[in-house]
Amino acid sequence: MGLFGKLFKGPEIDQAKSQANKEKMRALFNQVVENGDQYRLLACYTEDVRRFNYGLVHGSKTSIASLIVGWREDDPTVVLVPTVPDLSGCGDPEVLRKADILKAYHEKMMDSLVIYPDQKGYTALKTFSWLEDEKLYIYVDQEQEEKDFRDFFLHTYATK
Amino acid sequence: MTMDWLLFAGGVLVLLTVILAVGHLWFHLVDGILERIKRRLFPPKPVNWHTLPEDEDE
Repeated sequence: MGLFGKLFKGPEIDQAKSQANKEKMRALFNQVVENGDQYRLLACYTEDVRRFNYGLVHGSKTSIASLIVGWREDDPTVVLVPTVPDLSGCGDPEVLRKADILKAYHEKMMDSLVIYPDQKGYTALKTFSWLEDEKLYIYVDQEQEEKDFRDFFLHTYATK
Repeated sequence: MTMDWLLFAGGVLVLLTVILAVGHLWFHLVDGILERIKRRLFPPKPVNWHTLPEDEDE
């Protein structure tokens, strides 16, 4: 393939790296979630956009946090495990059974999947099939998993 | 005439660069101070962190 062919083809996904990261996601998830193998997994992220006006300077600051999202269809449940893009560790899981949450819906403007566990706060999940920037996002090729999770969220888990 | 225009354009460019640099400095100064105040008033909760099992970490 010539130079132009390569340019137009776009970046190629490193499948070995993606597979290694899928295994790390599974190891982390199973470490902190009881019966972790009952859940399918997806890498997601959340964005926290903070607007500021410091007199001379106006703008916004965005911070991105990575999540391992586990889901199961029987007794529809989503489990959120905070992590870092290099998957060196993770935090405690948050288990969100559909029966226990306040509401869950698809926010169309930002294309986020929003879950309100209660009235105190919410989590807006952003899904992706693959993102190149591995400093910001988990490097994983997950086109099918993303599609399946969105189907599950929209048709089974969403409350409206 | 051309030299004057070049000097003028160069001056504008320098001025814009200075404004950009001062804006950045101002942002980091104010943001740093606000962040420190916030941490003093509302210290972040300690988070339980689980590291990746060694056999998975190559």
